Amino acid sequence: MSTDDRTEVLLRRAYDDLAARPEDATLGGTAFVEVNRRIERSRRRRRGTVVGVALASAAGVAAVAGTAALGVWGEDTGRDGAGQVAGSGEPDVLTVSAPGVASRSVGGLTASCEDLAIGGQTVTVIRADTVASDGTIVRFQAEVDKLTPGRALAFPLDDLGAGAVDTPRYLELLVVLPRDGAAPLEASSTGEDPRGSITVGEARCGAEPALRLALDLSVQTDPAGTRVQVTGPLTAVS
Amino acid sequence: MDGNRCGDDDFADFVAAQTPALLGLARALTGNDHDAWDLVQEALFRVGKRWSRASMHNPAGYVRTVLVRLNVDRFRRLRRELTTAELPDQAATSVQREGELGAWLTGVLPGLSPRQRTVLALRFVADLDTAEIARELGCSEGSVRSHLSRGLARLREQLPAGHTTEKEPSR
Repeated sequence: MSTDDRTEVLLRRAYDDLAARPEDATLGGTAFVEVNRRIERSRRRRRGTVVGVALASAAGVAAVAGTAALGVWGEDTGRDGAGQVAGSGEPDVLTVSAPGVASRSVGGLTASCEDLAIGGQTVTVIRADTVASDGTIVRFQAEVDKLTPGRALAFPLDDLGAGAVDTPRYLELLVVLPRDGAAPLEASSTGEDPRGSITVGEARCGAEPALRLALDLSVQTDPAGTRVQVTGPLTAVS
Repeated sequence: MDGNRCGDDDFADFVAAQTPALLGLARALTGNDHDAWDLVQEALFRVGKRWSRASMHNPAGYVRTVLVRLNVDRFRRLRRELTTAELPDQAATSVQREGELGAWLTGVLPGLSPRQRTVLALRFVADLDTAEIARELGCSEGSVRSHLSRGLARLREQLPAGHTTEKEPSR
């Protein structure tokens, strides 16, 4: 047996030893119970939100404001982030696009919160993300306390100047846009020269995390520098 | 991994069938039981939410992709936190293995970069070749070969006593 073969055999045994545990075979049921509970909770929450919007519309309550709100903060379309090609006339959908690449509409984002113990302080970060079946990824995260309703964050964030003390920490919008026959475009607001704005509608942690933003942002890949546009409402629930 | 069906009723079967393999892969990616379990549940949740609404040609492959990318994303976040702040408390417990090689691997995995860990796990646990790993991670085959070579070199340097080799396996 050659040296290469011995290395291969040795590493495969090591990985087999690490990865394969007899008790793992019994955990499928537990995993399903936990995952299904989260899915059902998520579905109930979505149904409740949709019913609430429908009732408000039927009652004619704040019709003008309601229409505006739906236009900017449109609830999940139910397409659940499957990465469809965006059509025209769908202003209530978050759209990711780049030159020469089919644009994608993204929905079904999941909101979650996490307390980070950093330097003796606890910082609560809210996160919204989705990974579509075609590989499109949208992820936003930021310190939740700084995302007050109505606040507009202009990019680059350094432009906040004197207000920089209020700049949300850990703020990042990450997008991955798949391409045919080429590596996906990956761009982040923490990369070079992000432009545009994010306006906060709602950012809430606690029992039912929720995040609603209006995005009009252009972020750049590294190192190619291709600009990726992210526009429309970002709506995420737990 | 198998599992090419997609319907409401068989999600439970899908989870039961995929969980052991996903746990093994997640453990090789993270080297940590706690993170591995969280990663598997999150990946299954993402897939389960759209189980009955989307057409998945290969749900087993899809859930593996979601798991790997969630893990890459997790490392991006951890790296960013570690560059701007003190090291958070390490609450998670490292994988404890009884087998000699498994214990050795658990000890050396933290010394590898996240990308090296990822390509090695996809190679030796998911049994993917270089081209398949490149597609999974959305990067070039050259990049995969580079990470694979460096990761193997790091492992080879630290092989347990009595095991010495010189070159990486080719495929």
